[in-house]
Amino acid sequence: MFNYDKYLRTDKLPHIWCTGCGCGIVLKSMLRAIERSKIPQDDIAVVSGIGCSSRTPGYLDFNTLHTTHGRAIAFATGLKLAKQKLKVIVVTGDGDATAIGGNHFIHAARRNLDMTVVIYNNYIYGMTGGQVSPTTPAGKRGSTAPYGNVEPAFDISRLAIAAGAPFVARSTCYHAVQLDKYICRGIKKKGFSVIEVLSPCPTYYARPNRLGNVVDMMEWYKNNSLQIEVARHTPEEEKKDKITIGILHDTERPEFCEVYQQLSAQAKKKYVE
Amino acid sequence: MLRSIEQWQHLDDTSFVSIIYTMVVKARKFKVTIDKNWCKGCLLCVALCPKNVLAMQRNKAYVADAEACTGCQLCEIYCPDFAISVSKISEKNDE
Amino acid sequence: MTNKPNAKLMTGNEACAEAALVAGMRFFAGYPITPSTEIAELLSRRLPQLDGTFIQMEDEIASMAAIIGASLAGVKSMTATSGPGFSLMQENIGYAAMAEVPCVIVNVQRGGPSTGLPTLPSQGDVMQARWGTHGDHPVIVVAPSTVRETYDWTIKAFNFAEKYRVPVILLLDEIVAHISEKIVYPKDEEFELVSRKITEKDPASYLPYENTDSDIPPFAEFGVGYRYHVTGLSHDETGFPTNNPEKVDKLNRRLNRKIERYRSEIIHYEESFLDEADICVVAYGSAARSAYRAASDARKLGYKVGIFHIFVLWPFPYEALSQIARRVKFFIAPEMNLGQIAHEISCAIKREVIKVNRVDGGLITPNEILEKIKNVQL
Repeated sequence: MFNYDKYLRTDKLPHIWCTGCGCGIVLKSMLRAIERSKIPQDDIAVVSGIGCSSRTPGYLDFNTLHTTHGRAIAFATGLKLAKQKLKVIVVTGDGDATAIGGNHFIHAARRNLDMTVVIYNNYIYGMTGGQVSPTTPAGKRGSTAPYGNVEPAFDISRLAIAAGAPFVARSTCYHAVQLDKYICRGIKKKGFSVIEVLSPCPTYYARPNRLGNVVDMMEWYKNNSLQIEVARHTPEEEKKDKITIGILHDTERPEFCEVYQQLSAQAKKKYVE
Repeated sequence: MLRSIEQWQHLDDTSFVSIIYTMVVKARKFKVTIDKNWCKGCLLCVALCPKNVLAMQRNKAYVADAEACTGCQLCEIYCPDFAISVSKISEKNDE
Repeated sequence: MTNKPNAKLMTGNEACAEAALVAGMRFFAGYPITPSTEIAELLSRRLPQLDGTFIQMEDEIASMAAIIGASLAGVKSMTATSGPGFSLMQENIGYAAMAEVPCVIVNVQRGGPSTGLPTLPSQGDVMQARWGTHGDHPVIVVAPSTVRETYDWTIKAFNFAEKYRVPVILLLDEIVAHISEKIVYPKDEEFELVSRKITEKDPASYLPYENTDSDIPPFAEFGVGYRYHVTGLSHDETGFPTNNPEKVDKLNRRLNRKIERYRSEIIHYEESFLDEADICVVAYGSAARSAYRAASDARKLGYKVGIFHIFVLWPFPYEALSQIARRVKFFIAPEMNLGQIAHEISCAIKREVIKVNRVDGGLITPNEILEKIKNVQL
């Protein structure tokens, strides 16, 4: 029913993602959110780093920029500041955003630069063949953790909140319809908005960890997620290993471009006199 | 569908309800089309369709029970590969 | 640029910042690092006055990324750093070369390697400026030796970047950056400014990386309806990734041909007293200052010594040097490194080069060069 072709570079399809990969689901949700936000196509820039999810812009009919690993947010910072009319959407993965790109992620959140960051969190490095990432749960297997991941994982959403992002939402590919709403809210929000999406990687996360196929993963998301509204009244013990989803954080903070413009206006006035 | 409000004023409750019911049921005809080339057989649409409209055949999804489709579009939402789309069949171009 | 005095005492860093504004630079992203920080400080004050944008990023990698983003939005952009930061920028400099994004990177060289001598000069990054990032890639590297030359060459750096759609590296060192010299303020009109060629095609037929006969694809900025794709992956004319060997070969050869075929327009050096010289001193950057003094002292003592002063290090002036080598026998190369450019000179002249090297953080003095001149067995 939804007309995806309007936003797609259809000649580039079918895409490269594996069977059951969540990237296609998140991409579709993003397009529905963009439609809902009514922002003109010419004003949208989609910036990505390196990794499976970062191939998304190639398929989208916007101003698209596929940058270096981890640096999408830094490229997007320059793009946004130089042309503030642009609505900048950064598409990145858990490794791209929080491993090599972690420094740029927390600083852009601290600055509260107006951009929407959609993080496809599939718990693993997919493109390079299943190495563990900063979000791979401890004990889980990856090609670089054959005996089980030694390291505990980041909670990306809490990391974003702690760094200062005023809008942080989390969803999963199972909760795709909710995801539309969060991405749209993030796009409309004036400030640094983060939408973390738990996305299945059947090839490199599910298989080495014997978690079944993508349907089993969806089942897992369904049974292990907890709406934030419910989670608020759930005793700690019960929600210990559940994933809270929903709009986890939504406040107002002065947005970087606006503050910078005000300062520049004063500086310019004084200079011209 | 609701061409104009006036035509409904004179009706009493029961007939009003029955008209709404027939309209919704009759109009509720949807077509699910599947692109065999793009379908990778990931099973998502089959598993998540609430009305078991879809099934697998030689590792590709196909429409097993078209009548049951309620047009909820979950298959289209969950298909990662743009291989399935749901369209409304209005009375005029009914096959 | 409203009321400007006609002369001013200025450091190299100040000249670089002011000249960048004259060149039309309106976006600077940088990170503090001695000895280049004054450029950032000055621009953080000046850019808001001119509707420009300054941002101090979280590291040099981010700074380089941000200026590429800004340039794609159609704004002339620049960053400034020193050795350690320059090393961090390399991957994204390569991206700018691959995606053909005009931008200027100022590297105020300091003692290396590693943290080295933060407050002392060196010329140890000249090879890194050419080959710092991986793969065969186009880049232009320019090196002024005085405050006034820094002013002129900052503007030329932007013109090169815009004209050839490449990253241009402006190599200063701690001396050129921090020395104060009187500069007779050139009027803005004195400078011919170049901006990137904008496509005349409509969005439907626009090819962001079209193989035009000039080898330089016309540009379209983000957000004005072209909605094209930019990537660091090898790509074809449409801008989309490809592994097709023929297309990849075509791209890589065009990217590098962009500089090679316009060598004569880019290369710049100044010769003095080389007509009947026995000895040619080849120098660049702050070492050239000592070279001129040493040569004039030597001439007073009766030695026939000339100077070959290089302003554009890459592309390197091999041809000019090999011409001179026909009539001048001895070549001396003073460098504050262990002979990085001397190597290139000997390739050009097919002869050994007499090296005068210092890697102790000190400027090569005229006398050190003069001694070498005296020791030459004519």
